[in-house]
Amino acid sequence: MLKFILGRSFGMVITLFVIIFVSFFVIRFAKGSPFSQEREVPPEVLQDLQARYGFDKPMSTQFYNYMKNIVRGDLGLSTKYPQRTVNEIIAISLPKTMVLGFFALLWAVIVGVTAGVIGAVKQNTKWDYSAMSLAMVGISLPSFVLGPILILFFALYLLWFPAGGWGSAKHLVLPAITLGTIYAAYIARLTRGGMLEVIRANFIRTARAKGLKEKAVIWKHAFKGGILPVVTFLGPAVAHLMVGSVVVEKIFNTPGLGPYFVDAAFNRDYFLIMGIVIVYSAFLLVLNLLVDVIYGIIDPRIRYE
Amino acid sequence: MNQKSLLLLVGLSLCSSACNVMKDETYFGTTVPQHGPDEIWVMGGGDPQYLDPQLSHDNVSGEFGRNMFARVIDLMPETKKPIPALAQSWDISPDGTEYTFHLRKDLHWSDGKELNATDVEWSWKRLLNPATGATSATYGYVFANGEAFNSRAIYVSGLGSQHETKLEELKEYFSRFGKIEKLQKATGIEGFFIYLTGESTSEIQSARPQFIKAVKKEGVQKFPQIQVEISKSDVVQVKATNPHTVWVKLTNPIPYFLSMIDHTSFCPVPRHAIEATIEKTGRPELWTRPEHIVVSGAYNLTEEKFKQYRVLEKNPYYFDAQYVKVSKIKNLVNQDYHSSLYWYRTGETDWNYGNAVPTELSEPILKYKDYVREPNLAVYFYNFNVNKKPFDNKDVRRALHLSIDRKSIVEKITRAGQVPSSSPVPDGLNGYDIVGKEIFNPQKARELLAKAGYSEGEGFPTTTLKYNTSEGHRKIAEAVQQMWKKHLNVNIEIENLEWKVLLQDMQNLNFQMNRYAWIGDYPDPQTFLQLFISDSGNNHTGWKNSDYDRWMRLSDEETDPQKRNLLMQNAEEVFQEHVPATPIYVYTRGTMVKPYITGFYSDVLNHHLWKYLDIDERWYREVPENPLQPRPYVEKLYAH
Repeated sequence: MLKFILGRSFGMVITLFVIIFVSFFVIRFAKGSPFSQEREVPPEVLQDLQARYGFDKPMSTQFYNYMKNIVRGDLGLSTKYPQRTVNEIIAISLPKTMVLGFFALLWAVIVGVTAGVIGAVKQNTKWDYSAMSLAMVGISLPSFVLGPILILFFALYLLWFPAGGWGSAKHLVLPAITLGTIYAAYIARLTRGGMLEVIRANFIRTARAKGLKEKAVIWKHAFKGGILPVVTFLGPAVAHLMVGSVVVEKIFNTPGLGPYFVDAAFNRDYFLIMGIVIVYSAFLLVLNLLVDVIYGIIDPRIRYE
Repeated sequence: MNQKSLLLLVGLSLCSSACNVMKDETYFGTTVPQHGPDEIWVMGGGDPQYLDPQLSHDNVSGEFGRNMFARVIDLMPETKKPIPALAQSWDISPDGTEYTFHLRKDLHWSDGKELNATDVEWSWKRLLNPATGATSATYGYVFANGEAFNSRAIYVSGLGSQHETKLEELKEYFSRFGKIEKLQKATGIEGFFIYLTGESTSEIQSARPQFIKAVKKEGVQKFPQIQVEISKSDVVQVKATNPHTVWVKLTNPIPYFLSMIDHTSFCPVPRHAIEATIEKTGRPELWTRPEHIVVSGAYNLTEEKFKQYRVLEKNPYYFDAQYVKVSKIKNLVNQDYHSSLYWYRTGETDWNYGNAVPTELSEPILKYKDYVREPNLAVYFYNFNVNKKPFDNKDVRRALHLSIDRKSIVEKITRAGQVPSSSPVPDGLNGYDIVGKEIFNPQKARELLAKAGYSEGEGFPTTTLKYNTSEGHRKIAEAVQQMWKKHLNVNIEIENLEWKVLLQDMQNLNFQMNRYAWIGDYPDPQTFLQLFISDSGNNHTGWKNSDYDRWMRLSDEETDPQKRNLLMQNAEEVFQEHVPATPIYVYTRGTMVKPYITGFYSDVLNHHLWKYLDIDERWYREVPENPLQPRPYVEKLYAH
C-alpha cells in the first residue's frame, strides 16, 4: 500500500508540473494584457508595471522564476487586486468554498440516502415513485435554474433567507441546497439501487427467515451493503462540489474561490489564474488518490500490488 | 447568470408582484430601512481595484477615492460648478494658464497630522511619476512639463538663451546621440526636453543613459555649461509657495481645469502614511489597508472583508465633518447585477451605485418610483479603421453613418431613455450646440455609397464589426447589421470578442469596425472631441486630420467660452465630413435608490458624495406622503 501511495504521489507531482507548464504558456499566449484599459496607458508607466510583475523578462526566465517561487510556496501577486498576494486571496476564499461544499455534501447525503432508502423499502409504491421523480427533477435541474427559484421563493417571497452573500449560517442554506441537490438526486438513485440489490440477497432472506424485525433487517443488514456504491461516489463528488461551485457561488455572490476562476481569466490576472489552477488540480489529484486508497480498504477484491 | 435564469426571475417577480407580496408596489421591495438611522448600506458592484485615489481608474474605486479623500475643489452636485473644498478660494491669471489655490488654514489628515500645500504638490507630482504606476497619469499632462516628467524625457539646460529657441537646429545636432522623437521647449524653466524613440519602451529606457553619457562627453565641447539628465519631479510646474498656497502653471489656458481636478487622480494623498507603510512592509500598495490608511475625506476605512464588504466611518478631521450626517457607510460587494437587485429588494442595500440596472431589466423596473434614471456623460459608437478598405473612403463611412436608425435602436433595444446621437458630444454639454444633427437619412446614404462605387451595395467587400461580448452590444450590432442590409444592401459580419482581446485589436488597429464607448472625464465637449486628435492615444481609428487638430488646438488656447465652443464646432464639422467613427447614442444610467435615502444627487459623471446622504426616519414608521428631495443645505453651506 505504501509503495502504491508513494508511486502515485510521484506521478501526481509530474502531472501537476505538466499542468502548470501548459497553463502558464497557454495563458501567456492568449491575447490581451492585464494592464490594458480603455484609456491609453503612458508607455513608461506600463513598462514600470510590467517590470513590477516581472513581465518584461523573457518567457523562459519568467517560467523559471515562477517555478522557483512555487517551490517556496509563493504564488505571486494579483494584478487585478494589487493589494493582495495570490496566496492571500486563496487563503481568504478557499475555506468559504470548502464550507459551502461541506454543507452541500451534508444536504446531499442526508436527503439522498433518506430518499433512496424510502424508495427501496417501499419499492413500487407512491413513496418510491415520488422520491424517484423528485430525484429525476433534481438531476435534470441545473443550478442556474434552481438557484434563482430558491432565491425567489425563500428570499424574496417568504423572506426566510438572505438572497446571497456571506456571514451567517442563514447565508449558507440556499447555496448549499442549490449546490447539493444534484448530488442528493444521484445519491438517492444509487442508494435505492444498492439497497434493492442487497435486499434480494440470500443473507437478507436468512435474516428475515430467522425472524428479525423488518427495521433491523433494513438498517443492520441491507443498509450497510446498499450504501457501498454511495461511498465510492462520494470521492469524485467532493472534488466536483469544489470545482463545480463556480456557478452557484456566482448566483449567490458567495465570496469563495469559484468566481475568481472566471474573472481572473477575463482580467488576464496571470498569477491568480495559475494559483487557482494549481489549487484545483492539487485538490483533484489528492482526492482521486484518496478514493483509490479507500476503494482498496472497503473492497477486498481490489489489491494494490 | 445567464439569460434563462434571468427570464425566469423577471417572470416570477412579476408573478409575485401580482400576488401582492410586497404591500406597496410603488417601490421595488421593502421601504423600511433594515438598519439604524445612523448608517447606510450601499452596493458598489465589484471589489474596488484600488483604494488609492490616484491609481483608481474604475468607477467603484473612484467612488471610494472621492469619499475618502478630499479634493482641492469639489463640484456642486447639481450644477457641476466648482465649489471650495480643501482650497477656500483660488485666483486665475489673466491669460488663464496660472492657478493659485489658497487652502483652508486648519486642515488635518485623519491621524491628526497637518495637511498643507506641500502634500498637494507632492501628490500631484506623484500622479505623474511613472514609478507610481498611475495608468491615468495623462490627466497630469495639464501641468506644464508634466508630460516630460511622466515620459522620462531627457531634460537639457545650460545652452544659453540664444540657442534654446532654435529647436530644429538643436534637434539636428542632438540626433547624433540617439533616435529623437521630439524636442519640446520647457515651460517656466530654461531648457528643453528630448523624447527618445525606439522599437520598444525597454529599448528607449536603455538608450537614455547612453544618450546622456554621449551628450555629457561630446556636447560639452559645443555647450560648455550644458546640463543633461532624465526629468525629475521638480521640472513640473506645481509649487507649494507657502504652507497654504499651491501655484500651478498649465500647458495652455484649459477652461475645464477646475472640473478636471475634481477627478480622484488629483486627490492629495498622505505622504507620511505611504512612506511609513513602505518602511514597515516594503510594499507601497498596502497603505490603503485599514491598518495603515490615513485619509482626508468624509469617511475613513475601518473594516475590510475582501469580496464581501467594507465599513467606512465618519472622519472627525474632515474639514466639512459637521455636515456629514451619517456616521457609517457599509459598502457591499456584489458583481452580479441581477443578484444585487435581489439584495436591494430585501433591503440589504439602500442604493446600488455600482451595478446599473441592465437594459434588459429596465422595462419591468421602470415603473417603480425608486428607479432613478441618471443622465450619463458617455457616448456609444462604432469606430471605423480608416486605413482598411472599404473605410479608407469617407463616403463609405458617411453612408454607413447615415443609415443607422438610431431612434429605433434606443426605442426598441436599449429602452432606458438613451438619446440618439450622431455627434460624438452629448448635445448641450457646457453650452455646446452639436453639429451632427442628422441622425438618419437612408436616401442620402445610398447616394453616398453609389458615389463611392458601390451602387446598391454591389461589390462591397466583406467587412466585420467587432464588439465585446455582451447581450446588449450583440442586439445593437445585429440591428445595425440589418439596417445596413436593408438600406444599403451591404453585408456586414459581426464578431464578438472578449473585452481584453478587443482592446488589443483596437490598439493595434487590427479591425475594420469596432464597438467603442467613451465616458467623459469632465463636463466639457473637449473630453469627447480630443479622442479624434491625430496623436491622441485614444484615437483608435487611424484617422489623422490636420484641420481637425488645428481647430482643437485653437480651442485649447481660447479663454472665451463662446468662442471656444465655436472653434470646437468647427472641429466637429470636420469630424462630420469624415466620420472616422459613427456615434449611436448618449448613455443613461438606471440605478435603484430607496425612497428613505435623502441627499442623493443624480450625476452625469456618476460621481456621488456620500457625505450628503441621510435617512428620512419617517419611513421606519410609515410611508410618508411627501418624500424628501435631496437636502437643500448644500446650497446654504457654500453660499459664503
